[in-house]
Amino acid sequence: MRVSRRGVLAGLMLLGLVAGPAMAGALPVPKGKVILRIEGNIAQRNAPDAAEFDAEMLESLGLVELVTRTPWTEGEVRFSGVSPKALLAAVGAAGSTVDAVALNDYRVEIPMRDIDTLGPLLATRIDGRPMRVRDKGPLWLVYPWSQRPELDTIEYQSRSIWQIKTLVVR
Amino acid sequence: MRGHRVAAGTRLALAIAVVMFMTAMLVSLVRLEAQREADSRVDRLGIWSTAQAQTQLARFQVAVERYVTGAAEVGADELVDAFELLWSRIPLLATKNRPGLDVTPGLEIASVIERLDAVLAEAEPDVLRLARGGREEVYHRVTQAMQAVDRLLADLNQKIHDERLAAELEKQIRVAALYRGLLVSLLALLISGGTLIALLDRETRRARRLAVVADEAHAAAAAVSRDLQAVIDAVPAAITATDRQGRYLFMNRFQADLLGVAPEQAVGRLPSELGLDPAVDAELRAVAESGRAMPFVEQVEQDSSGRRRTLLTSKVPVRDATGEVVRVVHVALDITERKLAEEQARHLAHHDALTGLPNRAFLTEALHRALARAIRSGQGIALHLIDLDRFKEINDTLGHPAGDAMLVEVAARMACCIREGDTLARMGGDEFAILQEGLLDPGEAASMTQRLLAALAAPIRLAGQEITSGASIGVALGPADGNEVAELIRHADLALYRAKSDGRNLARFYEPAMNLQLRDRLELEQALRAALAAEAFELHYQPKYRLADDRLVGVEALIRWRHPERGLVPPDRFIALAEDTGLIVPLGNWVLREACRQARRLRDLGLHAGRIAVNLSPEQLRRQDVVAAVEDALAAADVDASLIELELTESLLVRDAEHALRVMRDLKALGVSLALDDFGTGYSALAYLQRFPFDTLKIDRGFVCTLDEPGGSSLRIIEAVVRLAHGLGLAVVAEGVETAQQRDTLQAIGCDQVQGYLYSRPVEAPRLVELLRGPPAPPRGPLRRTAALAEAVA
Repeated sequence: MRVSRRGVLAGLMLLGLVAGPAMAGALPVPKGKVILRIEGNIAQRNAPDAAEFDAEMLESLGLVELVTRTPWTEGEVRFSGVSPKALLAAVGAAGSTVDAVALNDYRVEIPMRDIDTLGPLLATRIDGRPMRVRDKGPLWLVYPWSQRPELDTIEYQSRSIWQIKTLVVR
Repeated sequence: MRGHRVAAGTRLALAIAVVMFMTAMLVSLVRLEAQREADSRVDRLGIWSTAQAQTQLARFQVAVERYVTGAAEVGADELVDAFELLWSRIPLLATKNRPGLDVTPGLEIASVIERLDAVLAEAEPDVLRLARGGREEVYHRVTQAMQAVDRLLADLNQKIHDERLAAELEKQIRVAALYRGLLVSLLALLISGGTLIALLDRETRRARRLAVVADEAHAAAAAVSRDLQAVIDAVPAAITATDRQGRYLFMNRFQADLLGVAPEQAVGRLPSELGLDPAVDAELRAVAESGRAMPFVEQVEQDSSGRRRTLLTSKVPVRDATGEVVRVVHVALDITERKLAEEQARHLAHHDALTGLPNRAFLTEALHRALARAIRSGQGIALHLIDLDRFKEINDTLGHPAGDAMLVEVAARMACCIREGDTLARMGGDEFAILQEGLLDPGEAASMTQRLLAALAAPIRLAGQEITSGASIGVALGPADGNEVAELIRHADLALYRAKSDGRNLARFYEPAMNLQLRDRLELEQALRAALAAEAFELHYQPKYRLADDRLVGVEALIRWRHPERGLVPPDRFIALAEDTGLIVPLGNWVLREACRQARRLRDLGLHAGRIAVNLSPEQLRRQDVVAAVEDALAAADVDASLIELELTESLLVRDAEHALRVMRDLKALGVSLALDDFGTGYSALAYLQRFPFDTLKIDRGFVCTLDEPGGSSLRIIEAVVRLAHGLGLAVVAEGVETAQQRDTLQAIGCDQVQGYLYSRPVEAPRLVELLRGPPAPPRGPLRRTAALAEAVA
C-alpha cells in the first residue's frame, strides 16, 4: 500500500507546530516519519536503543534561526532549526563526542565542545521551508560562519554534515 | 675630498642597487607564494570528482530494482530518499559550490549540471509514481532517465578532466609569468649594477680631470724649481749647500740617502750633527773663510747602511754680488762601483779565478821584488814549481769539474805548507809556484818540498773516487841559481822537468847540468820532426801465438826510431814527447799506413800472418778524424780491413765515452777489429767490455808476471776476466809471457793467445817473413825460452 508522502508530512508539521511547547520535558513517541535517531549515552529513550524524532517532535523543542553564509550556498541564508545543545539536553545526553551519521552513511565526529560553545544549528528549514533531502535535508548541522569567520576551515566544513539521520552520543 | 665624494656616491649607488635587488626578490617571493596557493587549489580539482554522484546514482538504481521486485527492505520512502540523495549531489557538482574553490567553472560544466537537474526534475514525477506503485512503463522511464543521468555524469567527468588540463595550462602560464618577473628583477639588478659602474666611471673621470687641472696649475707655478730639483736629485752625486758656518741650506736626494736622513731635516744642521766627520765642518768653514775652492779629493765614507763608499769630493765657495762668500757648495761623486771594478780588475789581473791564488803575473812581480831584496840582504829565496802528476789524466777521465775541484783542493793543501811571507801562486793549468823568502839555508827549501810532497801524496776524494795524484817539484834558489826572474823561473822549470822524468812524485833542485838535458829534449823534438819528414821509423812485429796449437795467429806492430846518432830509440823515449807536441798524429798515421803496407806485402808473398795490430793513442782520437785516417791507410795499401786490428787503452774510453763509442762503431763498420790493450792497469771496469764493441781483450803483462807468485791474486783475476770475456764473445790475449809455467797456467785457464819473450821478441819485417815461412809450431819447453833469450841478448 502506498500513500501520498507529501500529504502526511504537511499534516505532521502542522500538528507539531501547534502541540510543540506542551511536549517539553517528556519524550513522546513520534507520530510521523522518524527523521532522527539519537543513540548511545542518553537518558531519555522512546525506542529500545534510541530516542526517535519525527520533524514535529524536533521542532517542538524550539525553532531557532541562524542567518549565515555557507561554503555551499550563495550569499547569506536563513536557516531555522533546533539547537543541538537543547536537543541533546532533552535526551539527557552525556559524553564528549557526538557521532553524526548521514543518509548516505557519511559519518563525522563532532566534539561536544563545538555544540556547547560554538553555537551550531541543527537546521530543519531553509528560508522557512523544510529542507528536502535534495536540499541537504532533512537535518543539516550548520556552523555560524558569518558570525565566526574563524570557523571557515576544512575541519569545520567537514563537521557541517547534512542529511543527518542518526546521532550517537559517546 | 674628491675621494670622499666618490665613496659617498658609491655607497648611495650600492644602497640603491641593494634596495632594488631586494625589492625584486620580494616581489618574486610573493608571487611564488601566490602561485603555490593557486597550485594547491587547482590540485583539489583532482580530489573532487563525480564519484559521489555516480555512487548515489547506482544506489538509486539498485533501490529501484529492489522496489520493483518487491524486496522487503526497500519501501516507497527509501525509494524516494534514494532519489532525493541522488538529486542532492547534483548542486555539489557545480564548482562554485565546492569548498574553498572560488574559481568559476567553465560554462560547459555548468550546462551539464543544468541538464542533470532538468533530467532529475523530469524524472521526479515518475519516481513518485513508481513509489506509489506505478506501472511497467513508469519503471522504464525512470531507468531511462537514470541512464541519461549516468551518461551526463560521464560527460561531466570528461569536462572536469578538461577543466583540469586547462587549469594546468593556466598554471604553466602563471609560472612563465613568474619567470618573467624574475627576469625583470635580474634586469633591474643589471641596470642598478650598470648604474653603479657608470657612476664610478664618471667619478673617476671627474677626479682625473680635476687632477690634471691641478697638476697643470702646480706645474706652471713650480716648473723651473721642480726641474732643477729633479736634475739635482737625479744626479748620481751628493750636492749640498752650506752657509758660512757650515750649516746646511740645501741637500739633494743623493746626499740625504747617503746619510739616511730626509733632505728637509738636514737644513740648519752641521755635517757633524748628521754623523759626518767633524773635519768636514772645519773644511767647509775654511773654504768659506779663504774663498778658495778645495780640489777634488777621494774620500771613503760609510753610508747609512754601513757600506763603504768612495766619494770624489769638492767644495766650492759661492759669492754674492758684493764678492763676499755667502755659501759653500759641496759636490761629491760616488765612485764606489768604479773603484770596486778597478780593484776587481786589478785582482783579476793578478789572481787566478778558480783558486783565488795570485797568478803568474803577480808572482813574477813578487819574484822581482824578492830577488832585489835577497841580493841586498844576502838572504836567499827559493822558487818552487809544482806540477801535479796525474792532473791531465784525471781532468780527461773524470771531467773538468773534477779537475777544477782537484786544483782547488791542492791549492788549499799547499797553502797550509807555506809560512807567512811566502807566496803561493797558480802559474796556469796544473802548475803552481811557491816563492819562499828569507832563507838562511837551502835546507829550508828542502824541508818545504818534503812538506809539499807529503801533503799532495794524500788521496783526494773526487767525484766519488779516491784519487792519488802526487806532484813533481822543481826548485831553483835565488840568487844563486839566477839573479834574474826569467832565469830563475827557467831553472826551476828545468828542475821540474827532471823531477818528472826521474819518476815523478819527487822534488829536484836545479843543477847546471840540467841545462844540457833541456837542450837534449829540444834536440829530440827537432829530431823527431826531421825523422817524420824522412820517415826514419820502422815497425817491429811482436808475434802472437794461439795456445791451442802454438800457431802464430797475429802480430802487434811496434814503432822503432832509428836515430842517426843514438841508434834505435825505444818508443817510451819519444811517444810522450810526440803526444805532448801533437806529432803523434803524423806519427800514428805513418804507423797505420806502414802496417797496412806490411799486411799487403805479406799477402802478396802468400803468407798468412793473421791480423796486424796497431796501437792507437788517445791523442790520435782527440786530435784527428781517426776513422778517416784508417780508411785512407787501408785504401792506400789496398788491403782488407779484416787484416788490421786496432788496440785502444782504457783511458780513451773514460775520457769521452760517447765520442769513443761513436768512433769505435765507425771503425768496426770499416771492418777492422778492436782490442782493449793493457787491461788491468787502468780503471779495469768490466762494464767497458759490454758497452764497447771490442773483439779482443789483452791482459796486461803486470798480471802475467805475477802469475807464478805463490798466494798471488793474479791467477784468480785472470781466470775471472777470461770467463767474462768469453761470455761476451771476446778473445783473450796475455801479454808478457816469459815462462813455460805462465804459459801452462794461462792455457789451463782458457786464455786464447799469448805474446811474450817465451815465444818471440818483437822482430823486424824480414824476420817475421822467416817466422811465417818456418815450421808452424815452435818447440815447447826450455829450449824455446833459451832461443828467445839468446835472441834478446844478441
